[in-house]
Amino acid sequence: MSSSLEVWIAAALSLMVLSFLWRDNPAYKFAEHLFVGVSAGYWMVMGFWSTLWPNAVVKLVPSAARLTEPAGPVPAREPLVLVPLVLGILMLLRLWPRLSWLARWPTAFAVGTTLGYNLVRYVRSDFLAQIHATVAPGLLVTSGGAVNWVATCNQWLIVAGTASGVVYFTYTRGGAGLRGGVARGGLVVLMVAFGASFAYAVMARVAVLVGRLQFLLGDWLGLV
Amino acid sequence: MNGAARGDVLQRLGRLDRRWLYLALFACLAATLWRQPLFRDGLSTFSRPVFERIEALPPGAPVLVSLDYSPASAPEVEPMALALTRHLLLRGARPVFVTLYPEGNNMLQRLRDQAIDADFPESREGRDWVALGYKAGRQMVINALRQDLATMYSADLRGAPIDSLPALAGVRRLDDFAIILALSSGTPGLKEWILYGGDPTGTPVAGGCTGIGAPEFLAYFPGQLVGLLGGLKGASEYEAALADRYPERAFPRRAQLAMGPQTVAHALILLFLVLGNLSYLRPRRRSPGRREGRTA
Repeated sequence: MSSSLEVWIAAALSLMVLSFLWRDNPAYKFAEHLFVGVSAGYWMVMGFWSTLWPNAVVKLVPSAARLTEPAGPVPAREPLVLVPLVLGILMLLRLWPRLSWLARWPTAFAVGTTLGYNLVRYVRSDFLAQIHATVAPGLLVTSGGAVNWVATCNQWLIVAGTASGVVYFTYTRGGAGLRGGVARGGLVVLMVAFGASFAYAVMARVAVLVGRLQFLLGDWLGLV
Repeated sequence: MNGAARGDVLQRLGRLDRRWLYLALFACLAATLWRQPLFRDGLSTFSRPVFERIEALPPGAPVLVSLDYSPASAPEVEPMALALTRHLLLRGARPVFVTLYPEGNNMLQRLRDQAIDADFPESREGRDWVALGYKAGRQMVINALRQDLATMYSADLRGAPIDSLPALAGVRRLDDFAIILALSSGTPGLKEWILYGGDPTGTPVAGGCTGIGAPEFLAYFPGQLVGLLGGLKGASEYEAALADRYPERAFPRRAQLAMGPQTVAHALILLFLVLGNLSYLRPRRRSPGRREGRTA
């Protein structure tokens, strides 16, 4: 059994959270609130020291860098940092109803720049590159020049599955004949994909549970 | 047992309190953890390219390792990080650790304790590997690294200027790295490294992710993503391959040991599913049109 106070606290909190499986109770509520509070505090401290300090304080008052990195170089002063700093302060004005309209400016700026920046990358990598990867190779050949029929069949299965999935979403009214058949095939493909995703999700949840039990039975109790 | 008695058992199973299932799952997992069965495992289509890429790295090749996960997903992703780091150091590559997660520095410290200090005590920080740590900015950090490493990182986590680090000799931008290994549990993570790091620069990207994230990333394989370790299974495959390739180094097999309880849990869940469906279907057959009983 562990003699570390940290391990005992972690074990007690783990048991409090797991007690929710029995029913909702004050111990679970305590652990839940503690987790939310500690997380918020941690993120606030990290946000200050990793964002505000190096990007605002140090760039406006370069000598402040000596406080955190005594051996590091002192950067040049960057007065332009005042612009994002003011935008950040405007964002906080949402807390005052009379001035909350000013928060729209930094929000619009953030949404606009993020959209503009991400759009190109997503169109190239998540749209065009994905279409290219799906339909480009007609016949897959081995390094010796022979046709790899298994890989080629797999590739065409992906093409057929993708196309039938698109048909299912395009013609949601169903329909008879070839179109309806393809849409039903698309539905099967979607179900198989959802099933695989769900199986991965189960594996992930069980892995987390196993990790917690390894901690409780091993690190805490020393049984395994 | 006659038909009526069997039906009665199935009906009672359908009304079983779900907490009995939790208890059964806990008992089975605890028993399996105690026995510690070690199943044989091998590389899959998705994990093999990662192993082979690292195996083919020349000594001294700089490799960017991004630890984009938090304690919540550490049981799945941390074994991958440990196995990949051990493999990189065995090959004599120069891992450069960064993270886009605020909790990443703590994950890096755990990695250092469990893999670097424990298994490679002769390696030196700054010479054989570098810890640059966390920078806020999500994909903007990747964008900045694409242009110039020094704009984001003037020093490593110890405060040593990056110009003074032998491990970063010849590394100025993202495309100076031989490969990007991103271990992720969400956003920002592997997807951002593919979109903003690998695709624009042509630097190969491989990585690992939680089981939940794996189906999303399989779409990028093998064009935009050279290999993927998906969930605990991916980590277990990599540990097994490392043990087969380097039998003289007895590294801990955390993921492989966790696959025993994982397998037992899956078998138990399947059994529950079958029993639940049997108890659900049985009353329906007796009185069509009525949905009696509850599945657990």
